[in-house]
Amino acid sequence: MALFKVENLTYYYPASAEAALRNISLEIREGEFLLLVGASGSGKSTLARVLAGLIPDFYGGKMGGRVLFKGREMRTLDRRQVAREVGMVFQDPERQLVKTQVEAEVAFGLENLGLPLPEMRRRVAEVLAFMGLEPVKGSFIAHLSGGQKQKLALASVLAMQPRVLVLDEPTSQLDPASAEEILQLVRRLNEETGLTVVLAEQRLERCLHLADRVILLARGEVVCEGRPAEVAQEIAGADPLLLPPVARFFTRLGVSPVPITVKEGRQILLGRLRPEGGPAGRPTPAPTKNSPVRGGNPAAVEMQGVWYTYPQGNEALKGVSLNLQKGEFAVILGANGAGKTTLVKQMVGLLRPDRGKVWALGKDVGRGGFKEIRGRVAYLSQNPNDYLFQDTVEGELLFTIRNLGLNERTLVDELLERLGLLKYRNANPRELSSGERQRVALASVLVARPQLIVLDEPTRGIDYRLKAELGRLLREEAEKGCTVVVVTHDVEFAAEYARQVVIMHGGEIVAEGEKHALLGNSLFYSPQMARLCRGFCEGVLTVAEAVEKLGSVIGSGSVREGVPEGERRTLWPSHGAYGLRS
Amino acid sequence: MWEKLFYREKGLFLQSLHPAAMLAYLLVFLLLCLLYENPLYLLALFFLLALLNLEAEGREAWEGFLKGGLLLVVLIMVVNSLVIRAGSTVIWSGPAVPLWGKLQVSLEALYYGATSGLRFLVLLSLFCLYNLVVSPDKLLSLLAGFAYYSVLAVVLATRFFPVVVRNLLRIKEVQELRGVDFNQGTLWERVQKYSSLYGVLLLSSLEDAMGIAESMQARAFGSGKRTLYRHHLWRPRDTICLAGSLGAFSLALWGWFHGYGRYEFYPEADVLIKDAATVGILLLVCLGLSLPLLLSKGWKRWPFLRSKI
Amino acid sequence: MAVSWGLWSTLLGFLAVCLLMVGWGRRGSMTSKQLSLLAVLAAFCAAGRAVTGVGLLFLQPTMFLVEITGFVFGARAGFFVGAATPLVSNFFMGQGPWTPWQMLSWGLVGASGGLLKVLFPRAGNGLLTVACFCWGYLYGALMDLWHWSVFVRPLTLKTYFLTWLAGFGFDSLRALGNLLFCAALGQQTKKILEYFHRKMVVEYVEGL
Repeated sequence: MALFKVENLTYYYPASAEAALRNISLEIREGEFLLLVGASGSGKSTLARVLAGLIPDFYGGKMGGRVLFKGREMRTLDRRQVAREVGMVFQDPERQLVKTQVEAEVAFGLENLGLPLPEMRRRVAEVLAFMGLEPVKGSFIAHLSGGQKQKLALASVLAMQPRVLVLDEPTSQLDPASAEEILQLVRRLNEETGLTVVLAEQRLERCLHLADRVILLARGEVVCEGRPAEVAQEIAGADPLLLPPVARFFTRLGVSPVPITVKEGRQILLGRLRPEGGPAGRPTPAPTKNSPVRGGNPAAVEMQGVWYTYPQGNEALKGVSLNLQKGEFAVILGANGAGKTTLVKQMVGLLRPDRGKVWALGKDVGRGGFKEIRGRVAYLSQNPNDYLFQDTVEGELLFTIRNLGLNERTLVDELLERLGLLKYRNANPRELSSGERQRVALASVLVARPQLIVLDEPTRGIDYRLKAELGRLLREEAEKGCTVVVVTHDVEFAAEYARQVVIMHGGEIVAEGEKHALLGNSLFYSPQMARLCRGFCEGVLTVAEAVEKLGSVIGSGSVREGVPEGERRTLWPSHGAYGLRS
Repeated sequence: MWEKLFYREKGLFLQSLHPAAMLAYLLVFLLLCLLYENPLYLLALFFLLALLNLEAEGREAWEGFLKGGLLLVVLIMVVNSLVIRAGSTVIWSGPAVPLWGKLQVSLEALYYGATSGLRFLVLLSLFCLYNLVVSPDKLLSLLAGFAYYSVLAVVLATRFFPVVVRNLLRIKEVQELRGVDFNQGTLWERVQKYSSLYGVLLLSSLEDAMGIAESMQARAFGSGKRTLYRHHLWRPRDTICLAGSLGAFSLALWGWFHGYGRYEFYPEADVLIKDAATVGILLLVCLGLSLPLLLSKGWKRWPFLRSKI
Repeated sequence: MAVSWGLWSTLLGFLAVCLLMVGWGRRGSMTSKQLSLLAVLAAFCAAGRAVTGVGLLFLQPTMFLVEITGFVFGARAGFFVGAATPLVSNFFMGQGPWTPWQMLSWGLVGASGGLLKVLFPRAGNGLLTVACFCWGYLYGALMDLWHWSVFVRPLTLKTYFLTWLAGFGFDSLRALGNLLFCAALGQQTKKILEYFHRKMVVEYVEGL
């Protein structure tokens, strides 16, 4: 018997005229690892909440159809019983922790279930040990890192010993290392204890291969379901950007079944190509620390031997020098605490150097220049909600204009148009979706026509489409002569859109240069395509580049009958807007 | 800056005591400090607390507390000496103030003011010690049995406080770059500038609250009868400290009813040491109260003692 | 001085605040939404109290929020948010013997908001602003009661008046801050809280 059985489920959030889920029918078997895939707004989070029993109990709204858990209708079950059997982990670690101390947090759910103390102590001890949280068990939760907080959220759910674990984009707010750790823990739980897992995700490169079955959702409906490789094929037709680069590459070549990991992909390449050069590949020229100043363009940002120590005492920047020209698109990579955010805050004048010099747009930031550059630099923080408080979207843009004493109403229309926000002009920005919120935030800083745009982890938690859209938009800005600096953990984003890459470590810049030279020959700061092509063809970072360089070699003859790209697009006209750039 | 006084686990002996034992100990201190009027007794308490604060590795915090308190001490002294006309040794006689009478300062009033100031410093030191050795977690988990909802809400608020502060600082930066200069304009203009900051922060915080509620719901909050997860070890050291504090308190009470520890300032101040018993009782009370201090010193030095208590 | 008034007033504060908090936490049951909303509001107020703008003469944008919380969510919720505000912020800034009295006074500010709602259900921002201004002084007067009983002798009306006078500057600053903030932010804050107050009630679930 299936663990979950959903029949013709339709659901409307309260005061919403559009259905969040339409006519969904599916079954989930015991012990299965199910992946729910889809863009934001596709209904995967809503479906996850239905399975966890939070909809409709917590949200209200209109619901039709049936949800059966172990053969009994979910709505007739006692809430405690549902909570005991189905655990749920949410997106944002800050939004799911209740207690001040790690151990108490793990015990919170157990207290609510009314378990006796000896049982609670056993379970807490077990979970802390399994999750590796033993060393921090007495810590104040605010002192933990984001990754640790998410691990704790997972631990506090596991302590309740659920039979099903539902996760709603649990890694979207984390850096790659922590994200990987969480996913590996989930995989282990599924394999070692037979726990049923339902994972809603949109970054497939890390989890597609973990799943037994994948369900693709779009606009509240199930588009297709099946094994990862089968669904990958379907997704490639419907929404290629959703796929990890490796799979995207091979679907474009028409290879079937589609490989979904770098390892599988390399097996295919090995079967068809002969590696060039030695086994380790050719060494590419090592990037120089200070790239030579290219003639013509004046420097937009110039930093010389910048040192900075926070008042609390941590030395965040240690003698950093950096040159960015006008019209540059630079990405800053590095682990947590490497000093990335501190570096960009120096550029926009939010911090001033203790030693050394920072010139931004020709002004000495350390000496009062930070006031002069205001209005000519734009800064987008990690959280778009930081920008939204006016009653209307237009109001947000006007707020900036008014404060900076500008007089450019015409730009408002132009920007709203360009960012696809015209129809929301008079909407309350807090009512919009997360992607739209981010565009409003971006519009509210771009409206000042900045010459330097700095973004701190803009791709965190956003949909792949919005990411592509954002990347395109920023590239347009850079082409118009604006300097763009992006702090991110997202190597794929850097590979696709940036021109220059800066890698930081421990408050210093350890490498800097053109992206092909830098990302092509590093092992971990390298995009999937570079890993796939290593040894076959160097300097490949994106799918488009790989198709260009390798497509003709593999493509002719050896490829099975694949539908040409152009034709496939016409099969899916509604999704074609974000098709591959070639 | 705002986190400087937040409890930090340093693995100290004093932090390892059972919260009930520690709170009883601190309560005895509080009662004695409010009960005693004799400056000598207050001075002894102050001295003991100074040693305890140092033992808890809290020199910096303690100095901060005292510095902050000095202003109030001066205020207390001024108010007392101006107001009180019960002292017989007048050292300054000022002009007459309408509705008030003649201003005068007596030595006794000054003396009483100083003693009150000292009492205030004792209180400050006591609470500084409290902040150093009692973690909010322990305190609140001790109270959770009595008032579940209030304690849980306070715990959640304490956990969320740093999030709000961090968001506040970040949003402020964001708005500075959107052209809001928080340090310019008239007071009214500045208040209005804060209104945008405030609105963003309030909205974001309340949205977070909804998310937290959802997570609580998913973890069976309010689904029926609940139990409490509480686990504090009771060791021999707790018994010793509790016995010490109770003994000291009983003795102090006995002494109080026999006049030891009381003190008359007006019209003329008593002698500080009336008889040998005044000092004797004080020494015994201090001995009872210094047990945790002595144990802590011994605990650091002798592994033998460590394993026994 | 046979009776130690300082002792009794401090203990009374402790006891009163303990009883009130216990009573508050015992009565009825709370949904997760109510609890987390009040807790987050308390954290917000505590942060406003701890991190005050130096550029703003140390005016605190907090008391008026407690008042409005009471007005929107009722006296009980207002009392809790008020009482928790000094407690939580003192965890970070240092607890002191003054904490219980502060909790009581702040709690009263919140509860009075609920009272205002009962007396004048349609009160606008003007009335709230006036109430906040008065509370600036009233709060000072309440806290002075404790200072006076602990540190001042003899306990006469005159000495109390002098204690109050000594704190008059601070009180005025507080009252001014309340006045300005409530006038500038009151309307907006009330709107936001009312929106979430509506959200707190679980929506009706209907079938299709």
